[in-house]
Amino acid sequence: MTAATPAAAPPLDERALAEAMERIAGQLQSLRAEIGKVIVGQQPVVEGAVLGLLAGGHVLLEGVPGLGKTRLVRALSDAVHLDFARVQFTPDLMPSDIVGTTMLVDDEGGARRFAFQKGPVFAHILLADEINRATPKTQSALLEAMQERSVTIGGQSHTLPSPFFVMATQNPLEMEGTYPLPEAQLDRFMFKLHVPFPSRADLHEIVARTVREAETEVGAVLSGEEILEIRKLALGLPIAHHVVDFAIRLIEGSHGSLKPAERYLRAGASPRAVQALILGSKLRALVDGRANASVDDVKALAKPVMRHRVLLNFDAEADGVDTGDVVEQIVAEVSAQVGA
Amino acid sequence: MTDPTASTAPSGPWLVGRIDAALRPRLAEVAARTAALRRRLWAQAALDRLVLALAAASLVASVAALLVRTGWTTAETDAWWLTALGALLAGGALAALLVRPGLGTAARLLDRRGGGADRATTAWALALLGRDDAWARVQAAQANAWAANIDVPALAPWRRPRLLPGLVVGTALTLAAALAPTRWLEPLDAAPAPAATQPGLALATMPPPPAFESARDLLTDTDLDMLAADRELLDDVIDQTEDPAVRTWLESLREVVTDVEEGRIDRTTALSRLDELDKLDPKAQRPRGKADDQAAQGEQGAAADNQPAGDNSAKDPATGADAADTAGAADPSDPLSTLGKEFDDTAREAMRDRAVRKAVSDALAEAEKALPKGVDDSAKDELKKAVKDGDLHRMSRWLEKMAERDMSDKELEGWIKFAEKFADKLADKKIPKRFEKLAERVRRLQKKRRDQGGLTAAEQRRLKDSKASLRRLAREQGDMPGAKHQVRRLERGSRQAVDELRRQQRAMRRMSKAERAKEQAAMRKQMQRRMRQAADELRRQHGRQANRQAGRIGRSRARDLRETLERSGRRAGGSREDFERRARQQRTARAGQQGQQGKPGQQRQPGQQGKRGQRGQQGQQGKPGQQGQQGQQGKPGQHPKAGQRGKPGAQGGAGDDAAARAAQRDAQRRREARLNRSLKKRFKLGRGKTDAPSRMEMMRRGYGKEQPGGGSKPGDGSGGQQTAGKPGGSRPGKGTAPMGDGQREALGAARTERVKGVQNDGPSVKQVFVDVAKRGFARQRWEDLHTEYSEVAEEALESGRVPPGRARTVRRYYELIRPRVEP
Repeated sequence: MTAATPAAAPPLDERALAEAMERIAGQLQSLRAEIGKVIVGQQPVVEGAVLGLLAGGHVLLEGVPGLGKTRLVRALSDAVHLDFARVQFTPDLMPSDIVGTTMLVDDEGGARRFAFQKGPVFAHILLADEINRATPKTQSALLEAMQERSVTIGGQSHTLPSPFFVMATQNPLEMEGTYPLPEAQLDRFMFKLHVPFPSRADLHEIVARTVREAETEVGAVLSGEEILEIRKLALGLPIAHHVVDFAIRLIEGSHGSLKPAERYLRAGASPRAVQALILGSKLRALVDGRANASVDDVKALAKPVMRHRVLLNFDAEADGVDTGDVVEQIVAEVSAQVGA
Repeated sequence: MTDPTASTAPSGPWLVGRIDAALRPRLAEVAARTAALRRRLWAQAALDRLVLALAAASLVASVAALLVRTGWTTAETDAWWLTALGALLAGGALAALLVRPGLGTAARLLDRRGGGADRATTAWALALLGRDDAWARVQAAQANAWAANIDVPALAPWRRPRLLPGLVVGTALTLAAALAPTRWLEPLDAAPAPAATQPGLALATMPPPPAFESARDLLTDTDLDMLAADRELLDDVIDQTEDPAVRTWLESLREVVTDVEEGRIDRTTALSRLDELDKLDPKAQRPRGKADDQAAQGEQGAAADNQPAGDNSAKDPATGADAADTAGAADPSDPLSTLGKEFDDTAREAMRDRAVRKAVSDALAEAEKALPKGVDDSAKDELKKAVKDGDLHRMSRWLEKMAERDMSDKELEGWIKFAEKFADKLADKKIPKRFEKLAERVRRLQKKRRDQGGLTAAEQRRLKDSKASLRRLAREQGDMPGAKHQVRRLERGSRQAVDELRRQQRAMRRMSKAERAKEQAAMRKQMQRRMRQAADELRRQHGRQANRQAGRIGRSRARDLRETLERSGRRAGGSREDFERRARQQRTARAGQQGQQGKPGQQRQPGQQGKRGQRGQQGQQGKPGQQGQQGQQGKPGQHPKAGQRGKPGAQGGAGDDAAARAAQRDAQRRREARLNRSLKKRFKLGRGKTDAPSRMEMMRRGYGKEQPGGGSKPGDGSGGQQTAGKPGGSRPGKGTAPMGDGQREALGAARTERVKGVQNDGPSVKQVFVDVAKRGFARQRWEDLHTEYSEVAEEALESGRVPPGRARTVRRYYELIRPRVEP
């Protein structure tokens, strides 16, 4: 396991920066191509997952079973050449099953001592499958690790590897016997992505690619160090004031200053949402080969960033409106306000 | 590396400022395209503003030309017009020249229309911030590369000014005003006189008279049920009311109710008649301060003690309340006055009456233990029942009956003890200490709050608790302090009788045997006379209370009717009530058709809940003669939604006088109603815990619901007897089967009813509740619980604590949850 840390490098000059951007754009293009070998269609989901990985955020995938959520995570881990672990969340899963536990072991000299046995959370990419099936206690153990990027067991703190990226999935249909994630914990996911049902053409392609003898292999195109470099580069990418202002207006609007929010929302998005919007926009620009983030980047990321950070009220439930619809309306209103 | 989102970022109008000259070459392409686009936008905006100014000027010019040509202006005003025109044009030109689009607007438009993903705006923003790092240079290079391929004319093509049509219209109007002939604008006095109006034409142009819409058509089924219940209750109350003024007033109210119920009058007429009734009701008009004025007279009630029983000179015409009875209400020491408006005059009057009844009942119940041994068990039972019902009239009759009996010397002694105990108990009941204690505490806390501007949390809680206790006590016991004058009068009468008899007994000890026997006989007669006097007093009390209660019930029903009518007017369109009304009319029409087809009532299920009234109407159609008589009235216009028109009845031509026939019909209907109601429990004035029967209680007693009948006397199918123009079967039916049996069947049917679960989904909710109740989970019968709750609600409504507009909602709620199953 490689615990990569960002290297302190001198500031790039104009030419080196341009070259780095070009290289990164190429790598990310390759990354998407590699993932595209096994994931047919689902471009927004793949893009969201890649952005989440690059940003160091975490992603919550929501979709019915069989849409390739797990496969996407596996493909992503294969493409970036990072450790991958998967935890199937069940009601009897304990926190120690995730973070690890201290065990009594015999050393080479025959003496007995306690040793820390790492859990699956000590991986670069962790798939938390059906996260809402575990009890809140277990969910909290993982969510704490996500936030702090370390776990403390027996009074000893253990740092998680970097990059550390969690992709959690949940099934919106079978809600019996589940423990929905509380809003505070949902806030820790940078994006919440809805995995839609594939189109007919995509289904044809899925059948053609999967129901055959040969297995499709995904090649590694990005290392952990490169991911950290991209993240560092993205943080420096310039963003104009009006783009930041647009993102802030979106968040403000979700707190009731705009009509859709006033009508349908009980609580608005947190400041963490603005951070996610800006960071995501910068990364999106970088992926696109641009040296500036735009309002369009913010608009594109508004739904994945905000849909799980706002709370619907009774009127929304009664009118059959979901958070995505409300966020869309907020984006439309803010766009009309600023003329974007 | 500095970030543009740092505090140095512009916060006001964006992309404002000067760019460092060294950075300008870096933005060459972006700057060129932005400037080109900005010029283009400026030119387009200038053109728009000029056209706007010209259009406005042309409109002004057209008006000015018109005025000038018609001679409405003077030389001075002409100059003003010219100045206004010049100002408009100059303003437009200035605005066109001076108002330029900003750099931000142009850059953003460049980005948006050129698909730049904010390259231009970001490049400008970074340059304005003076950033010269690698990122800024790379970004500027990208922006320049992108801008080099932008074709500005393609991004912002010329378009026609938006207000060009306005300018064309304005110009045309100006030309028309300047050139068109102005003969049509000659002064009015020069115009030829209009042709003389012909009466026929005038009539033809008058708006058609408004269509008659009866008040009944605006009401829902529930409203009509309530109305029928009210009418029958009023019948009962009128039958028992002795005071002619109250009786007349109630009869007028009943006429209004009946007219509304039968669709004879429209809403406006009904409301105006209710207003007239209000004016005739001095009680309703009486200002609040009058009771207080009377209070100042204090013991005036005592002065009325000697008033003859039949003397109504001091009575309130609508309520029969006399000064003696109402004086107690105004006692300034009345503890209930601390509860403020919670108990208004009407509620307090009812509570005083209740307090009197309770005081007399309780005293008699205690005194009953001291009855002489000669009184048999049946007489005791009779007294117990009267006491239990709080029925002063029956108590009075019982006393009279006892006074008629021959009594032995031993019994005389027993009766004296009885009277003594009665007086003692009445004395105990006069001013309950708990009342005074609670009221004193409330008064003290209220005063403290007033004087000191607030109370501590504990004091607030104590005040709230004390008020609640006082309210509860008043509700349970009635307004006993308010009733103390009446109670004192009764007590004084009893006490005087006892004292007198005791004196005579003492005097007898000094008499000879013969004289004693003679005196004993005189005492027995005196005792009997006193008992008759007490009976008279109780009867008078009952009469006054009944009159007052009748007035209260009448006012309450009049108020309900007004609210119902006003509400129906407000919500007639598109509401649920409207839907119900339409559905009712459709059912009515169908019922009328059934009557014509001669199938009335035959398939009727006895005792079906809810639809009994409508089913019953089929039974009524079996009275061809009467219906035929109505048919002669021939009022087709009044009933546009009538059922099928039938042939006139055999006796159709019996009368010409519509009023007489209507009166005859009403009398007949009332006779039938009385006959039917004689079989069911009627409402009795002057007894019971509550002032008026609650709606739920009325439903239980069968008010407003025509008896089910079981289809025993269906119509004979002589649909031809249906009246011309009368709504087919719109009137509630009146079957002829005994009410009691029918009702029992109805309840029985409801009790055994089971709703089957759909597709084996388990027992119905109804079954579950019934089963649970059988297991003992429910400790109290729903019927009892509902009665208890609805009585409290009814009291709250009567006391005015519920806003008038909400009273119907409360009543409807209790209607909907009334018990339909007897466990």
